Amino acid sequence: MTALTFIILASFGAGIRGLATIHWPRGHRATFLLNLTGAFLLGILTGSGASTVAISAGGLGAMTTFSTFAADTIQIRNHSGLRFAAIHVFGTLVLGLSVAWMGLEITD
Amino acid sequence: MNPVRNTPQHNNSNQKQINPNTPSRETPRKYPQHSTLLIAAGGGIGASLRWGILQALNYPGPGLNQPSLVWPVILVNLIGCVLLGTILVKDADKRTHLLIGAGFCGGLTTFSTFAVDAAEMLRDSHLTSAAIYTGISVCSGLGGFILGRHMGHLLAGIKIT
Repeated sequence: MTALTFIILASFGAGIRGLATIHWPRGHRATFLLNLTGAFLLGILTGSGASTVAISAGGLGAMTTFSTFAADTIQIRNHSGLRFAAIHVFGTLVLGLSVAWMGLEITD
Repeated sequence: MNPVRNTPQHNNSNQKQINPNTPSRETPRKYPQHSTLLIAAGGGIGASLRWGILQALNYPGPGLNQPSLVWPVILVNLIGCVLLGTILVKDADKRTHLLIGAGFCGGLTTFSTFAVDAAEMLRDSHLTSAAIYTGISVCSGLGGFILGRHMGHLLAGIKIT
């Protein structure tokens, strides 16, 4: 039962990411925002201690992604140069860790 | 020469008049049909495999703040990045990119778990651990993706320029 819930929520999370990246003019903005959203929500869930494996590892884990982040960074470097790639990396890291911290602080 | 060149143009204009209900002829879709479903299916499988790997390697779950136990997350992210780089270069098929690339690799890798673990390390003043974890994650992810692209080129038999 947990396995089924896990797969359903993971597919749902990945589906949201798919919808956003496909319909957003530039896909990397959607990935960026969803990574931040997922980090914030997982921070809240983890801090509250109410997180279940299906929601945290399944839904939010699949909604956020590291591989597309890496691919986007290389693509930005090739199209717009190293400076924008560095902004993308540090922006994602600084904001991602900040919102995760905020989420943890809210509920912990 | 002239009649031969004109014939396909006539055909094209006729087709447009006969089939006005198919907008895909005028504006070719950037993504194939059911793209979201492909990503969702791949994501479900990828995330399940990620959980299986993390469980097998005794990852305690996000936010438990045991810096020495987060390496399985680095591992799954690295695997996903290498595979994505390979797929994007080796396979030209857009559906494969969506199912295995954005779907499977996207589900296999995760940003939220990484961010919460790193933030938890920062909160507990494990600055060095947080810096090392973040540094290794980003470097292995980017390096893995570039490595994957080279592997894709080799597998596809294309010379790296």
